[in-house]
Amino acid sequence: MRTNSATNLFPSATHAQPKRKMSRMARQEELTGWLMAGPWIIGLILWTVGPFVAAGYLAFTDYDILSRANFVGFDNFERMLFADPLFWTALKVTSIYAVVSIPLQMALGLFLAILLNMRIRGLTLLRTIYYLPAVLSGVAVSLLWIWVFSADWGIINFVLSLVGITGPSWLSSEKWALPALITMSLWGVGSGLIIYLAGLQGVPTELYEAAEIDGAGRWPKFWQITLPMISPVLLFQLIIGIIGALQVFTEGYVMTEGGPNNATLFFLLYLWRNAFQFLKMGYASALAWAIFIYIMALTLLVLRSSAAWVFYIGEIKGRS
Amino acid sequence: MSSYPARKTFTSIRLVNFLEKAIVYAILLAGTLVILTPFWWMVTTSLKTPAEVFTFPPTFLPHKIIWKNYVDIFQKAPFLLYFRNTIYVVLLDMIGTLLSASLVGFAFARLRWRGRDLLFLITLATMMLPGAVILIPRYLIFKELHWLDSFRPLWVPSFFGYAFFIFLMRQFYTTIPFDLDDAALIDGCSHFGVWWRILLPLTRPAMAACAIFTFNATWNDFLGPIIYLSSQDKLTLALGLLNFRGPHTTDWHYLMASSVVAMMPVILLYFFAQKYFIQGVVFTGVKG
Amino acid sequence: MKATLTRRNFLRVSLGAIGATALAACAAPTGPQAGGAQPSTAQKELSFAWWTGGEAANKLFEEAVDHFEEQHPTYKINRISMPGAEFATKILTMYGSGNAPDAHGVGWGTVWSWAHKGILLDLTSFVERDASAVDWEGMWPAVTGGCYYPADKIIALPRESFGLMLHIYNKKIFADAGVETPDKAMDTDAWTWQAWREKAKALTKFDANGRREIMGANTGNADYWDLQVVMPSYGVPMFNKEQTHFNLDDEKVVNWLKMLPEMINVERSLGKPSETGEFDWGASGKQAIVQSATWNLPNMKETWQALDWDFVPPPKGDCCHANFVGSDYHVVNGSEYADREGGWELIKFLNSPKEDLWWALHFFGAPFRKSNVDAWSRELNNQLPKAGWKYSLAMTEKATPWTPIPFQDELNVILSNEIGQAVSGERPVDEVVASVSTKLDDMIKNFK
Repeated sequence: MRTNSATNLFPSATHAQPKRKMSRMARQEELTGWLMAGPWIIGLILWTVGPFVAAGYLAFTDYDILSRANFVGFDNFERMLFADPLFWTALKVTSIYAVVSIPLQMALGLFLAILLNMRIRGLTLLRTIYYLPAVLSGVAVSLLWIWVFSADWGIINFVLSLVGITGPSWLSSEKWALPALITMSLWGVGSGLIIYLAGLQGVPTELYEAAEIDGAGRWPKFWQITLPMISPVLLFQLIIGIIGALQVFTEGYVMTEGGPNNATLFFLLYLWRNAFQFLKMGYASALAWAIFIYIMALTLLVLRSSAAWVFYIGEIKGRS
Repeated sequence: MSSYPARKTFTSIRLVNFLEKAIVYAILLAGTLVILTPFWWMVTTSLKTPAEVFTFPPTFLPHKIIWKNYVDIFQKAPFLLYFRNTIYVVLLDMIGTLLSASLVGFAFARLRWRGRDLLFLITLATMMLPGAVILIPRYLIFKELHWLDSFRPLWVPSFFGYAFFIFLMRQFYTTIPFDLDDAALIDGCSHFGVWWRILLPLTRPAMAACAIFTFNATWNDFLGPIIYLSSQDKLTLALGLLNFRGPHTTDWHYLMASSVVAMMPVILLYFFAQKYFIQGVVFTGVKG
Repeated sequence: MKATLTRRNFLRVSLGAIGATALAACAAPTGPQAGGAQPSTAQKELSFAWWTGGEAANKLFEEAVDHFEEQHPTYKINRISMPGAEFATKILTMYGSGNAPDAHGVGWGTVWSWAHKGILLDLTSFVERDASAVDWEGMWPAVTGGCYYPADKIIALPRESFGLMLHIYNKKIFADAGVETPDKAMDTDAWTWQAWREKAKALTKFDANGRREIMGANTGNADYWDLQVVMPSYGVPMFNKEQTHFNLDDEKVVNWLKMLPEMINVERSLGKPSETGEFDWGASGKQAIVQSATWNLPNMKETWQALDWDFVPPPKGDCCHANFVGSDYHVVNGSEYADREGGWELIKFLNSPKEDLWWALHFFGAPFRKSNVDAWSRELNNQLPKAGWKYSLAMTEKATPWTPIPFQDELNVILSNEIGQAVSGERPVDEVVASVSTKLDDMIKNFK
């Protein structure tokens, strides 16, 4: 098993030999690559580059959507960093949410996927049930959860009361609102489950068979075969988890409106308010770049570290 | 790999297996309970009278089951029209997403071409800028294309690819050994052929995951339709559901009934798509 | 064939998709923008946007626009209607892209912040020009008060009223507890917040385990909405003269606020806002007094069917019974590209006395005009006979005028972020009031 190559980030690049002249085959590969990625590149230019440039420019203006934007230099960024305590509150709340919910979601998702990948009866039905929460979205869900968390009549406090604990009024408590929303995010673990399941399916059974011949038990098989083999999927989940958690919005928007006392003021909620409620689209654009840079930095950190823990099967034998 | 002595008697293995299964079932069933309790409430609410919906204390079973709620929603709102519109958008979007994610993911994972790694980083980056600030520029583009109040802004972009799905497919491609490509290339297969003949069938579980995700996301999306559509006859299901929220009050029994109806197709799709997970991938030719 | 997604199938589906793409590109319905050839008659196209809450409400809007088209055959209305909360986002996006509708609805609060940006057509001269049709003076000051921004310009016409705030009471619970119903107190002018508190306490009942069986009353979230009723009833204006300070810290308001946590936590005659929001104690026959508004009556007609109930105006503070007639608004797009004359014709029609009455009757809101109140309450009394209708005129006359401020949304966000903590007793009222007031003052000072 080869590990720790600095370029592990981009697996097949590891084997790309610097060549003065491209062979016919390499040229063909190059051409096919561009052709296949072509629509994506066109799409990027069509729908993404323009809007990105616009958002970049607007961050330096006082754009309010309704009237002409004036260039204001670094005003928005200055205000954001030095004169807006809510910026830091939002950043803190969102970071806590991410730090707690991502590992929990990943561990729970993988755990359930492994259970649901066993040969047991009723698998199809069980898998469907576990995916159910991901199917449902919108107002129905938020109402459902407001009910679950209700102080006096909610299920959670009912269960707690069985063991003699008086539960708090979750959503209206400054201390418990964020933990409540994190708990809620675990309910939707079903969509991650699908990806883990698909990843587990991709592990060649031959590897397990070989290990069993060697007499390997459950844990060694998990640590030495399953985890390394699905590590690209874990990397995907981690990066998507970071992007998703730092852009969490709906729960704060619908269920708590960012309160109480800003306990659930998610960054994107604050951004959305600035953009479409307070008509400060210029400032919102500056906020957008702040969160963009934050996510990007974390992603790069993860990608850098992935060299040490992500295993690409393409490297078993390498390429010519 | 360290080897473990495997000298257990036949009966102890059976006992361990039995206990293990029992624990797995216990855990899974407990989880099922957690998941289904809120759904139970949703389904029973859809079968209650408006007066009973929020009675206190909440009733576990409706006093009287009102199946009529399900008939009513189809009369109160043009649900069949909503379904038709939604299916139109969802199918096109799903096909576009699968096609583009599979191809572009392949190019990112298994082909060497200049600019690839930079473009991949850019691809990731597009997911990191909050959508709120690019809403208006994007709307302007669709306005210039004269696509407003049509379904095109909702599905055409899928044929150009979505970053999330491209990334997902790329990661799955990297879990497949390169020997397969090399062998096929030596046999004179083109790169396109490698994708088509070898990798596409092997990534079936991932494609199934993509299909479910994109179906689900498009099915439930309401911000896109709200922004780009205008006419009542173009409403999609997710918007139709919002229509049960009055200006001041909500018809919860109808909202829940229509939510149950609306989520059925997604659940069915998932139920049937599962064989792609179970069938699994057999790497013939990996050995040796 | 064991796998359904074979390559052949995939190819077939993909080709089908490409075909469908091409087809759809040609045949898919096109928006009004794409329509090249318009009928060259004298018919003028006008775009009008509204948000719908529910199919029933949407049909009312369609009908109202139909009325207009019937009487103005030269106009054809492009109807843009979207449900719910993101309507404002859509309209903002359209303004940002230069294709906003000629006329549209806009919500309470939002209207002034948009007017502040100068995008709404100044209707002052139109109102003067069509004075007899508009009948400006015939409308409640409470309603027209919100149509001005700044104070000397009319930028909107009322679209629909939120109705009057009511205190609805369950007669059986009063009878069982031997407590006098509020209408008696109403007649002797003794229906005060203190009386409300005492009645709520006397009506609340617990079971052997200390769990609440009967809830006395409820409060909203003590947010801006509720304060619109409470503050004027104590004779406290919402803002200081310069509109630089929100009078939350007025002693009378603070005392009212302090009453709530005591009622919630000591007397337990009120539920916490989070608690009462979820279950309809009233419809379950387990709440004695419910604060609500006329718009809720059609709904209650169904859910309270089995109960014997009536209603009175909100209690009286130091000075008077107060009420408010909230309203959403119709405005005309002030941009160059908009058909401003057409937009005005449309919203003027929708606001006309006849349409006003028709709308108020169907929506259970209150009519905008004094002249319609009598007919309105008589007709509604036929549909839902209640003694409370006799207070209609009085309630409408007591309605407090709006204070149009361009930072309504900001104010609501700051207020509701913390006020719930004070009401539910999680933080001392004085602390919350001080904290909120400082933040509000800062926000107003920095508002551009």
